[in-house]
Amino acid sequence: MSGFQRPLRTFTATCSAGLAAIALAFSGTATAAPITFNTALPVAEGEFVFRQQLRWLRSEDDPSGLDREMEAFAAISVLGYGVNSKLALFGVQSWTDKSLELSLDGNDIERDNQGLGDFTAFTRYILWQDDAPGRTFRVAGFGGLTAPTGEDDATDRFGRLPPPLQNGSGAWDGFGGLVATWQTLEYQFDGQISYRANGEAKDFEVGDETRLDLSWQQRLWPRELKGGVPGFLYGVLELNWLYQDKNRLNGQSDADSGGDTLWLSPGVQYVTKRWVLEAVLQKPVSQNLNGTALENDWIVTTSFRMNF
Amino acid sequence: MGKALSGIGHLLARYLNKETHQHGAMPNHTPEQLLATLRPGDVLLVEGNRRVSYPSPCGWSHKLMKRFGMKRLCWLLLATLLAVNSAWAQSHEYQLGVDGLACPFCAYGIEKQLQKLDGVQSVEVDIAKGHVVVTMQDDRQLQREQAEQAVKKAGFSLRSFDRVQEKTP
Repeated sequence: MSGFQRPLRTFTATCSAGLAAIALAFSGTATAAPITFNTALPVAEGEFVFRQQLRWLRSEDDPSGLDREMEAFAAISVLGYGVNSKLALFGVQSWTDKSLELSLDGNDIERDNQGLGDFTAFTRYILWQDDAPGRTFRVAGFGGLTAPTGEDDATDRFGRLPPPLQNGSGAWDGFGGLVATWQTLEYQFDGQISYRANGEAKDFEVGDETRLDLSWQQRLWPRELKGGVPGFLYGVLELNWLYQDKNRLNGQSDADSGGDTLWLSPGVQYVTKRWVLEAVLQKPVSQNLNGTALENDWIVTTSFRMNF
Repeated sequence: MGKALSGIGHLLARYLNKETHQHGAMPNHTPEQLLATLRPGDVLLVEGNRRVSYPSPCGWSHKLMKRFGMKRLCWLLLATLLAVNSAWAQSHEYQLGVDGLACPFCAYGIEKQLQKLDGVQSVEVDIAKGHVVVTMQDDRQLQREQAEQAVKKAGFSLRSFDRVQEKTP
């Protein structure tokens, strides 16, 4: 093995481990009134809802001693359509910009990639609904597929980029789960549990994911409702737990991948009749990642939503 | 028979003389002054806090009398009264009680579904009360089934459907 090839192989493996965090952060097909997931987005029959999210992620806490620094940005667009009062269809398209810097044998190396990610389509069906004056309780099931529409064979001067740096996974992934919403005029609670089975492409398979997301939204303003439809300012607190199996490379488990992370996510949300502005900071409170997987520092998400 | 009629008359008189809402305006003339100035064709504007109150003369009614003549003017007044009465009697507002309405973003859906209905002039949501007031165009009416369907399409449940009470002039 030449002096250059050895660090390159190490680098590829390192990317694999470190950028799994990006996959974790951006794979969540967040779908609801909560900020970090989208499955509870309300949409009336024959109407559309559009959500544009901007998400930044940074990871600097490197247990491997390679001084890895990872940054990622994603613009995630979600379009929902109400087929009827129970059934809604959603499409999700992301554009990502990922970069990883590290130091190998005294050399600073940076690899990055930008472009459209894979397209995700999913459907949600309200299984149970109980309405009363000023409140509603709903339970819905959802399921969908991620199609390998993003490029998965991008290269740089070191060769083919490792899978987590690719815009697309190259594989078909499926996911499903349940989402429940308890909403009153004062507060809203959403809970979601989901499982995502990731496919294999080019001898690489991202580990399957299990997620549990909880979101509490408390109306802060106006303190009293007097009439009409005023804008609501909500304080938001979300809890996101994510467990990921180890990735598989050439049929072998990657010991430096997978694990579980728990995020605490405070945020704010301003809701009007036509649009919603929201922002949340996700901060890990517990990370039990395998091997030398790069730990997350924070994720910031801002979002705009509108009905039409 | 006479006693019965007399009794009814007393009851009617008591009803008509019973004080109701207290207006601030007071008559600026006596009945004698009114009698002296009253002319054929005058329209009397009545105000007071009883169902029978002091009348006051209206200056422009003389011109109408000259223009149309007494008989025509009576018919004109009658037609006007009937039209006004009909307009007041036929309310075009409906109040829907909607269950499940708990956030501003959801209110848009219900507004839009109701506005799609033929003949709807305006829709106003009161999220705190869970009420939606639908105002129809003059000659249109809203049926409960229509409202129920629209509310359901928006993802909510119709709790109540009421025609807003007739307005009193």
